[in-house]
Amino acid sequence: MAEIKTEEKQKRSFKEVVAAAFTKENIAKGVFTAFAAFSILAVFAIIFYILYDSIPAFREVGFFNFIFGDVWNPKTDEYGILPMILTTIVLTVLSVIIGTVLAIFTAVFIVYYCPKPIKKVYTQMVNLLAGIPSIVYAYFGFEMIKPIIEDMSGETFGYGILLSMIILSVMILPTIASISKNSLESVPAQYYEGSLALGNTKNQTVFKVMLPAAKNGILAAVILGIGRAVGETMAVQFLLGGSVAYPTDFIAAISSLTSKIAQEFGESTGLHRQALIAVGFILLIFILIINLALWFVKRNNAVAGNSFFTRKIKESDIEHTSPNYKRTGTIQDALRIVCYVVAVIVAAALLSIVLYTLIKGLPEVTWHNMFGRSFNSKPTLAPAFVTTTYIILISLAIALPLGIGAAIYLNEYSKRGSKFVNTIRLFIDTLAGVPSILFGLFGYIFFVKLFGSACVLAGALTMVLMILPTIIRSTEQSLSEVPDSMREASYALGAGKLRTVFVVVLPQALPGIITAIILSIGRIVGESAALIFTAGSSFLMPQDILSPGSTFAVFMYNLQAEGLDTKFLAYAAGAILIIFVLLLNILIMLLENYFNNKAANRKGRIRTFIDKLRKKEVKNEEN
Amino acid sequence: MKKLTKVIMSGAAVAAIGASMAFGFTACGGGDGLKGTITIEGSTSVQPLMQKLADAYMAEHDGVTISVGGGGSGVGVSKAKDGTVDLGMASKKIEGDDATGITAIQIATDGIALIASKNCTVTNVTKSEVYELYVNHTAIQGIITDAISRDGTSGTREAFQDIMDIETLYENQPELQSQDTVIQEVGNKTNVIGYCSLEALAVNDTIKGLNFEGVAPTAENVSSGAYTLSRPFNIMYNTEKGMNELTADFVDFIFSSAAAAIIEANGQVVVARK
Repeated sequence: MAEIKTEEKQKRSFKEVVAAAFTKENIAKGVFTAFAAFSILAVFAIIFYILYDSIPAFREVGFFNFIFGDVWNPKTDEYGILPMILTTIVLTVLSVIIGTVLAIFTAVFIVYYCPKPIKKVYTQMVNLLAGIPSIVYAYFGFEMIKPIIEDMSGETFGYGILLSMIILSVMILPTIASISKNSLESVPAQYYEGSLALGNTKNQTVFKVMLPAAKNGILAAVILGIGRAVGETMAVQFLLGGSVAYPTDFIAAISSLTSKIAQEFGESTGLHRQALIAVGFILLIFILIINLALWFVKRNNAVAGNSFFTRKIKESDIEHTSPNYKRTGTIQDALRIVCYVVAVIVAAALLSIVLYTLIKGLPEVTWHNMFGRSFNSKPTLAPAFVTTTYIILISLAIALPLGIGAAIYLNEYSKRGSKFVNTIRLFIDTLAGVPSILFGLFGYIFFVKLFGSACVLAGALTMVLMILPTIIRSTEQSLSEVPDSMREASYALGAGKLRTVFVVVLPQALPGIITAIILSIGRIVGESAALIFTAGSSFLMPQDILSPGSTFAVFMYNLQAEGLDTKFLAYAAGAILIIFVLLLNILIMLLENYFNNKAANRKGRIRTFIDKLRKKEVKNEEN
Repeated sequence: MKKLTKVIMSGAAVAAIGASMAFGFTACGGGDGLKGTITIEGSTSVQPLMQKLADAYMAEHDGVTISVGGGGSGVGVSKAKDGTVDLGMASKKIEGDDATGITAIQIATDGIALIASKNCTVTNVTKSEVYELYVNHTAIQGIITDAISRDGTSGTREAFQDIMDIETLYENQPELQSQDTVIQEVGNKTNVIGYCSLEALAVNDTIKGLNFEGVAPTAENVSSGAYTLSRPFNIMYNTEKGMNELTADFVDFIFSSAAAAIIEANGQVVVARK
């Protein structure tokens, strides 16, 4: 009897131990950790599934033959991708060189030379350039730039590297420019002042001191730009021309890795499809290498910085300091002029894309084209409204809790700088760097096979993976800006960690979360490559989330691809996309102002309160 | 705290609305008599015709949704085989390996038109001229210097190259994904030849169909067999699984006189059901 009793006691105590382990706090911590680790899972899933589905092609064709073969013929089952690899490399190198040069001048212009009244507008404009969907760039390049190239060169077809390079460099410009701008702005002010004190002109200072000082940040920006250029799909698919050949000519039809996948994947079967997935795997390897390089550069950056001895430049500092002692540094003076020229070119590029799309599209935005019943052969954009809304709602409903949870873990629970956290960060960055065509392939292999056919739900789940990094980063950023004193105050009042996070910290991070939502919506609306294979390409109203549907960007793509007289509708979709992107940009700007004002007001209130106290003290002293 | 609750609640509300909408849609569309969904996938050449037939059928039967997807003839065959679609579409003969396990029904015959710009002075081409241009980049009659092809998965390209005995194209020849782009390119340039489905001739006024070996690309000439650049439009279903009632009714409709008018208006040749 006694023995049994002790056993029972032990059991109870075991239960108690378990109960003690499974407190609300611990469960929450576990959940947040799991959410944070989800990015690792996602990256491994993408790598594993794409590799697994390309193994048959590697085995059938032979890995060596696949990489180094130069004949691609689905009809005879010959798959060699060397010409496409070389084309991708050549195209990337050329557009990154041009894009980087333009972007650095743009960044320098924004930080040092832009007249104050237009600075905000110009920065916003570069952001807008980043928000334009690639399918709109594709149309613009096809209809505006290609005929110009044909006229000037005398060639029959303007397809090829030159055309793609022009569009691609404009596409990657905003990415490189905005990161370069940030790193220029965070160069310590002493550098600037010191250089001027030594007698350098402003131009010399900018180009010989500030720019070299920001080189690490710029290098990271360039690597990001390389990632974008390698992965860009829709634009190059329209502009390269589709023939498989070595990149020996600037103006000649040709294919890159991504353009080949986009061109043939939808209509492929059997070994051909596996070979295309294998092309995706090669692309993935490129991307992983680029991501590792980026991670390496960033890590070196972190070591170099020292927040105690740096002071950011204020705009007023630049205003007051342009003494010009000696007329040396003519090269730098010339570079300054180049800055203005580039700034004008970038502005002109943006304006022409926006205006062209609106002028072509707005006349087609009629009531019937928007909301009439959509048929297979006479589509309207009504299904695009429904599909886009569905995908935005579903993917946000899943990605927001996941992303916010992960951000909470990274900022509130983790030990800063621990190996686990660094690994998670690396994987989040990797996920952010995966091009959308690979998300499309993964979504096809995983979700579409899971549901049996391409459907809205599969598209939405694919988009979850794509917007997750944005949500995590943006939320984490604003969580980190919440002062520790608020947390400490909350603990002091007896609140637990969980309560502190949800009641005190998270509401303060609202601006970041809202920004994340808007950025995610922008990403979803502009996406085409990842959705074509996952959400399907139906022109009909989706019956439910398990039936296929097309968003605006996918509509725009498909209307081009169908042999129907429906191009006008593609222009309408383009105009709507541009309007949407404009609205989202304005919304972000307004929100930023709103939250900044709010913060300023709060500070102001505290200041007036302090002032009042002081006055009282003075009065008391006088008395 | 209040604000956060609000955000969470509004989030939950949005999710709830989304979910209820989704379930609401799933709930409707049962399967009595002529209600339900037919999924058709395959050749992008058959697709425009099938879309028109489907739209006409849907206009008559309110409860029916017919989704017509592309994917190419290969996809049409493989999906018909594994039964994941009700009907597959193919713009080629179904024979050999392709034919095992599926039953094919020819619904029309389609001509492939060789096209040039309206402003091009060439009116007639021969098989060897076309072959020489597409393979060796030799100009046709000194006027047409360049050719455009469709991409490797196009059924039109497969049929075209089979009839012309073309194996490989000359280097850097544009291979475009859509018929629409081919037509646009050919329409804009006087020195370019391309090919497309016969029906596209009627709706595009920037291009003209070239006579092939002296025969004009018309539905009559395809029907009589004088115009040799032609191919069958097939639909296929899984033989073991058969067709369900709704699909069978739709196929009956394809061979009705109303459908024949649509097929003819679309530029294809009507065939009798075998």
